[in-house]
Amino acid sequence: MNILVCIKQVPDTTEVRINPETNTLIRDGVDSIINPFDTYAIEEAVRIRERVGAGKVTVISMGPPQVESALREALSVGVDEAILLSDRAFAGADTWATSLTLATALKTLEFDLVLCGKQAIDGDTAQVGPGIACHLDLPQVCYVSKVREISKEKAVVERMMEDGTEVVEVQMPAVFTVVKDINEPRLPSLKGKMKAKKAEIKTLSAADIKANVEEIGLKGSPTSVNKIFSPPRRSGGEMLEYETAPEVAKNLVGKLKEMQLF
Amino acid sequence: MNKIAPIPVESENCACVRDQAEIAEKYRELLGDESRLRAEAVSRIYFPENAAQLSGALQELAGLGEKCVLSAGRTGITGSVAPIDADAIVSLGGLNRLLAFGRDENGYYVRAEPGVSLADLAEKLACKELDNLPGASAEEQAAAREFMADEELSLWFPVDPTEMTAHVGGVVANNASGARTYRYGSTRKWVRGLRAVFADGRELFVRRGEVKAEGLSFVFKNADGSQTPCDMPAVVMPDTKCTAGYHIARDMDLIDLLVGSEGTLCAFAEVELLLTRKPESILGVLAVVDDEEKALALVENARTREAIEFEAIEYFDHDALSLLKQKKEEDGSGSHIPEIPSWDGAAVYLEIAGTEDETEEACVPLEELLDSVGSSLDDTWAAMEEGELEQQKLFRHSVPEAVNSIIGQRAAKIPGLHKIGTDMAVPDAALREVFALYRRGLAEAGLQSVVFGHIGNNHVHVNILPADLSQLAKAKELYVNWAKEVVRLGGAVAAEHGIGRLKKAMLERQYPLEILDGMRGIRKVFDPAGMLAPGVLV
Ligand SMILES: Cc1cc2nc3c(=O)[nH]c(=O)nc-3n(C[C@H](O)[C@H](O)[C@H](O)COP(=O)(O)OP(=O)(O)OC[C@H]3O[C@@H](n4cnc5c(N)ncnc54)[C@H](O)[C@@H]3O)c2cc1C
Repeated sequence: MNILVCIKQVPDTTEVRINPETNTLIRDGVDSIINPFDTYAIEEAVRIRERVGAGKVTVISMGPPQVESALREALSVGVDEAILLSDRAFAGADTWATSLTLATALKTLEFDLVLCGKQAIDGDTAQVGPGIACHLDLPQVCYVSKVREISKEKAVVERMMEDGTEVVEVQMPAVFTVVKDINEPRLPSLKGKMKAKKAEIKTLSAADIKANVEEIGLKGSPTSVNKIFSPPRRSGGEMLEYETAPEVAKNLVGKLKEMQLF
Repeated sequence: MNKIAPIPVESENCACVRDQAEIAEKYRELLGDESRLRAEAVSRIYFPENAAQLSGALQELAGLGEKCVLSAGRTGITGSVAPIDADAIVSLGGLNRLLAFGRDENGYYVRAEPGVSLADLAEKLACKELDNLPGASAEEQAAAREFMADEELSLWFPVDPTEMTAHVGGVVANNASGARTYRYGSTRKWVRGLRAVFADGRELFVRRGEVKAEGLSFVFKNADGSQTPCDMPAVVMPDTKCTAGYHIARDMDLIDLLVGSEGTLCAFAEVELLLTRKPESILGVLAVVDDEEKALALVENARTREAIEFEAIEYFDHDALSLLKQKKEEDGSGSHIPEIPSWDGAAVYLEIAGTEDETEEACVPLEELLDSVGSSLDDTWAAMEEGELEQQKLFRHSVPEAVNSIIGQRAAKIPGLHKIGTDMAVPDAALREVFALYRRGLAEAGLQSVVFGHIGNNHVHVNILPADLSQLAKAKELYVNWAKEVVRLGGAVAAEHGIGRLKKAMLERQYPLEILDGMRGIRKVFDPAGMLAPGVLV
């Protein structure tokens, strides 16, 4: 079974700082890591390959040349091959253009399954995985928390819902996005690290994947971000401290009445 | 050359809190350290902010005929900063300026007040925040500027005591060490100079090489001009890591005596520490092997391999791994303990450093090494990036944390229960014998334990987790018996944590009474009234 895992390199912080003038992320001084949700996708891909006993896992990422370090990290934990989509024409892409670019590249490759993390922690949109599925016209299952059965023809997976678990049978090839409950990513072994250091990373340009440059990058992005800001912090609550529980209750009712909530 | 001649200091008034309610409310934590040993109260706490105020505090105490302890980061685990039998605490955390950065023919150094934490020092060196250092000479300022401008050059204090909130003064006073002591030795050898303030408030700035014993004698010049000979006992010190009692050697440097003196001979108002180049690349490898026998063989083979020089060789026995596995399961998916290649067997952490090419080349001999004990590069967890190395460090530190959390739960039900943590080292040749000793003792006594730590230096911490007070008594007895055997094997009863108040019984196993008397004699020369750290060390 051939599995493609789409990964993104993100700044190592959940508290993303934003340049107020340009409304873009300030990446200086922040280490880059593989988007944490994508590490679960990588691990699941390697586990499926190990379970099936044949095939290969390929990671693919669209981004600047420094994304190579993320691809090598993936190679150190069991991934077989890595592809970097790098071209100036890809720059400035929104989620539509990004998923279109990835889908275009995927069309040039052979695969039975595409895995993504549920979302990237820098933008939190959760749109690229489903976007790829739409552009490729493939079935998609989001928030996968367990792969019960899988073959080249069909898979049975569990989806994590807010109020329970949904079991889905899906035809392959398909696109899954995974949540972190699905597994625990393995640590890199020294053997893996050495293999990753030496591995060759294939770089593909817009021309290589035969992308229409009008449809990708900034030009192909129908949306733009006008403003990014952190929501205001909630102020701390008020503690009602009295000797006895009935006193607390009485005062609480008084307060709620005052606020016309009771 | 062997004359210790402190000079008077123009002292300043030192801030002092005397109000008992305020002490009880705001400064309770100053009454003890990381050991459970605490004093109930103390009459005064001084908060000096410079050397003149430190001298002022000591002079005031001397005038009153009162006793004190010197306290720094309070991460010590031998109870030495608990002001038991003392009237006052001199808290040195306010002396926290980095004073200078310089370079001489021996390399780079920093001069710091004693309250600078290891974390602070590491951060200042990493971020190169060294402009406007308040104590730097013009030459030192130039050296700092040059270092800051040199993007290629990274420096560090290579001795890496685990607890980064420890202060440099405490680290020097304890001769602390860390995992990388395997390669770099303990703190002592990295001390270039000291500003020592003695019990009478006089001070001496001394650099290595300036004051040396003649044979086993120093001469101490008193405030009234008289001289007291300081004759040291002829000690055969163990040829291992050692923080048991004063460091004594023929023709020794005064600095070597003061380092590791646990606040009993003087207070450090400044310490000068040597730095070294931080390697371009560090490779941390946690190797899982079948059992302890294989781990010991791995360590022995690693030490004799010429192809690789290790920075650190650390051990985790099967019980340590099991404890972490259990903790991981309890913590659930939020656990910071990762899934290592296997929880069966034991683990050895090996660290290699050098250029990128060197660490990469080390993989071939490393593979052979692991092969030699039936393990492989696949059974490892390797880290090279800063974040990964940090994760490994966290993993290594989670063993004592897990032990403390279990003991904490037990002690909540059984007051007075605590763990027994050993800190003994033996020479290389006795590695197997000491392990056999520990295993026999633990099995016979039927005690729960974990064994981890600096196996490269034959210095593992055996942590015994007693289930009740009768097991605690058994564990204590076992510890004392081990100490006797460790001394017989040529080892040290305290290798890095010092003696403090809690390990004095151990020091008595290390040396005969006349040597201990000789050490008390040294103390009396420096501090005739016994004002500093009463009840600590000897
Ligand atoms: C989680 C943990 C891990 C640890 N790991 C290690 C380790 O790897 N290696 C190791 O060696 N130790 C270790 N320790 C023990 C401790 O961190 C060290 O002993 C450290 O050197 C103590 O520094 P401190 O600033 O906390 O000193 P304190 O505990 O405040 O004092 C320690 C001693 O130094 C004296 N002292 C402090 N400052 C001065 C001064 N300016 N002048 C004169 N005397 C002074 C005090 O009087 C006292 O005797 C560990 C402790 C903990 C809690």
